[in-house]
Amino acid sequence: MARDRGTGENYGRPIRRILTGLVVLVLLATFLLWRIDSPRVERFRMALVDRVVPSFDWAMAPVSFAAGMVQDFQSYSRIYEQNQQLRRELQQMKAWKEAALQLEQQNAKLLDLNKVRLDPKLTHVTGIVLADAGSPFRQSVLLNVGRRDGIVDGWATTDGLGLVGRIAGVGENTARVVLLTDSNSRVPVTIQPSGQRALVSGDNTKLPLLDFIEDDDQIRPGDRIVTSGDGSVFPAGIAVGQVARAPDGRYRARLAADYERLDFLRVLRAMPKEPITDPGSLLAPEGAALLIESLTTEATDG
Amino acid sequence: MVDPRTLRRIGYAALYVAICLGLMIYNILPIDLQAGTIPGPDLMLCVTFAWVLRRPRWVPVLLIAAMFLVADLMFMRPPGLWAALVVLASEYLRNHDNGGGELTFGNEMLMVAATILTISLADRLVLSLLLVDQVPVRLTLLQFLTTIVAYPVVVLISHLGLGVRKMSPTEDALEARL
Repeated sequence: MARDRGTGENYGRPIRRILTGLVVLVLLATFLLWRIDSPRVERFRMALVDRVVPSFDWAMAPVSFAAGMVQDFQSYSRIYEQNQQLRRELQQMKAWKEAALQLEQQNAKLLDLNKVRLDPKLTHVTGIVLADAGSPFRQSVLLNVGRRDGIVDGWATTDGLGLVGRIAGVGENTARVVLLTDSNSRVPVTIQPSGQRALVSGDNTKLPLLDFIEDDDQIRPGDRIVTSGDGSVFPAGIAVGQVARAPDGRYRARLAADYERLDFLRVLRAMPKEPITDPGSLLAPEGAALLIESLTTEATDG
Repeated sequence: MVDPRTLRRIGYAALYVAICLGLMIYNILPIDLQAGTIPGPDLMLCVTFAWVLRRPRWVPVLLIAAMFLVADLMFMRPPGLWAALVVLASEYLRNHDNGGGELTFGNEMLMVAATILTISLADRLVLSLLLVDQVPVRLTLLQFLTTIVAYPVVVLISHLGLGVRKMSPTEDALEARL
C-alpha cells in the first residue's frame, strides 16, 4: 500500500520540492535582509504591528479584562494576609510621610537658596498598554500612543512609581516600550546616596543586573537607584528602584515600577538639549565674529 | 459543484489559520508582563507538527511559511529564520510520514522532540554565527521542555475535538489518486 502511494505522488513531488525550496529561500532572504538592513525591516514590522494590533482591540480587551479578573480573584483569596501586610506597611509609611514632609520643606528652602530651576520639560503623554511582546524572551509592551501624539524614539516611560522602559519603535498609532527587564535594555543610573554610577542591564529576570559599578563597597542593599542622565538617554533623576543583593553576591535592581500591573504608562517628553558647539558664539553675539574678522582682514590689507 | 473532499481541505486550512492567529493574539495579550517566568510552550509549533503528521494535505507549505513569518514579525523575533526552520522541519516530518506508514505515538513523540530540539539549536547556531543578541540557553531549553509536554495534549485535542486523525490506508490511497 505504501509503495502504491509513493508512485501516485511521483508527479507532484519534484514540483513540491522546488516550491518548498523557494519558500525557504525567500524566508532566509528575509532574515538576511533583516540582518543587513535592520532599521528598515524593523520599521516595516512596526508599521505592520501598528496596523494589525489596534484592529484586534475588540477581541483583546475582554480577554485581558477576564484574565485581570481571575488574577484579582486569586488575590482576594489572600486578602487576610494582604490586609495584615498593608497595615504594617501603612505604619511604616506614616513614619516616612513625616520624614518626607520635613525633607520637602528643607528641600524647598535649599532649592530656593540655590536658585535651582526644575526641568520644565518633564511633561508627559499617558498611554494604555495594548499588547506585550508575545514571546517569553522579549520584554516589551505596545502602547496606544504613537507618532500622531508626538512620541519620539528613545523617550523614557514610567508608570508613576518608577521607570518602566524606553520607547523603541514608533508607529502612527502605537509605540513599543522596551522594558528594563529586556535583555537588550541598558540604562545609566546613579545609586544614592553614594552617587556611584552604574548601568541597569536587563537579563530577562525580574531583577535586572547592576553592571559597571565603580566601587562595590560603597553601595548596600536598599540604596535608591535613579537615572543619571548620562549619554542623554533619559532625563536625570527618575526613580528606578532599590539595590538588592542576589545570592551570588552580585547587585541587582529591585524595580520601583509595578511590573505586575502595567495598565497605563506615562511617556516623558524629553526635548533634546541645545548642543553648545562653538565657544565663540557664547561670548559674543552672532554678528560680532564676522565684524571682528572683517576688521582684522582690513587691518592686514592696509 | 465543489468536491466535498476539497471543501474539507479548505475548511481545515482555514481552521489552521484561525488557530494560529488566535494563538498569536493570545500570546500578545498583556496578561503576564513579569520577566523570569517559565516560558510557555510554542503551541503553534505543536499544532503544525501534529497536523502535518496526521493530515499533511491540510497544512500546505505556503500556509505554514506565511503563519510563522507573521508570528516572527509579531513576536519581535528575527523575521524569517524561525519560519524557514519550521518549514524545513515540517517538510522532514511530512516526508517521513509518507515513507513510514505506521508510526506509533511513542516514536512520533521521539521524532517530534528531536526535530524541535534540532531546529531550536539550529536557530541559536545561526543567530550566534551572525552575532545577533540571544536569550540565555536555559530559556530555550525550558521552552523546548514545555513544548514537548504540551505536544500530546495538542494531539489529543486535535484528534478528539477537531477530528484531525490519521488517514486509514484506503482513504489515503483514494486521496492520493485524486
